[in-house]
Amino acid sequence: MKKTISVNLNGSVFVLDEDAYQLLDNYIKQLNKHFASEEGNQEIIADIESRIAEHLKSGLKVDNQVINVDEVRRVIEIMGKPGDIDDTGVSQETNTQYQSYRKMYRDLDDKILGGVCSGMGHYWRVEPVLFRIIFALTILWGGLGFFIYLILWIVVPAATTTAQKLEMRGEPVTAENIGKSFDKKN
Amino acid sequence: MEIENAKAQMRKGVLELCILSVLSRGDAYANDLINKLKESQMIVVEGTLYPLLTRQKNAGLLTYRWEESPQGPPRKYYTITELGRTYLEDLLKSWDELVETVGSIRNNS
Repeated sequence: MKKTISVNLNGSVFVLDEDAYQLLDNYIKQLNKHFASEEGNQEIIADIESRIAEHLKSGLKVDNQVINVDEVRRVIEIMGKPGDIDDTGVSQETNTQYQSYRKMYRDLDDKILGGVCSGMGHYWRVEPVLFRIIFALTILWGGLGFFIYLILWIVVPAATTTAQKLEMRGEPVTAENIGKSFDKKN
Repeated sequence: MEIENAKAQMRKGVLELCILSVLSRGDAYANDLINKLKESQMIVVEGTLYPLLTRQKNAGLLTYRWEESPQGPPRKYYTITELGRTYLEDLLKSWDELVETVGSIRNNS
């Protein structure tokens, strides 16, 4: 089961799955950043959005079809990355600097109980075994670690979508990266 | 220095001229412009066109009006202005000069 998100592009509604939404949202944010200092930037973005809408619409086989990440990647390829669209502007650094900080998630691909320790491992770039040992010791000595672990299990969200897994590892959510981790999975 | 990059720089320089040329022969939707420019390999990615159109509009070289479309929302229909036409003439003149200059440089060597 996957969550879907509906978006309004130039007056038409599209239903995207979570990864596809993340990718598209990031792309449009990148464009916004790229054209931030340009006169009439909102108009440029609106034009590009309406062209994206046309491409997404032409790719739909049935009404209300959920758009996946491959479809969004196809359209972004046609439209071009901000750096390919024009390099006259300020940009250059905008490509590298957006969203590469890590977020804390529980890693369900590498878990003993709830993936809390492996998530902390990703966050602080430390071997998760270290946290596992610390929790095991504190559980034995007085049991405080047990409650801390339970709270973290409840509070820290699990990384389920590809975008979240990338955020967990501190890799930017870009078309190439989502593609990479899809290839890894298959 | 990559050859593809050099080629892309060349195309970029005359892209403005090409947009105005197409519009000088008649009004067009962004789609028409994209199809023409893609066909002749003047643009690689479609996004390139939109910032140029907005810049040219802000410079008063072209305007647009909204046209209803049979399927989907209304679309922008672009028209070249008088200022755009004089601008284009100017660009075409320097293009011709450029071609001539490059030709004579190549033949001399």
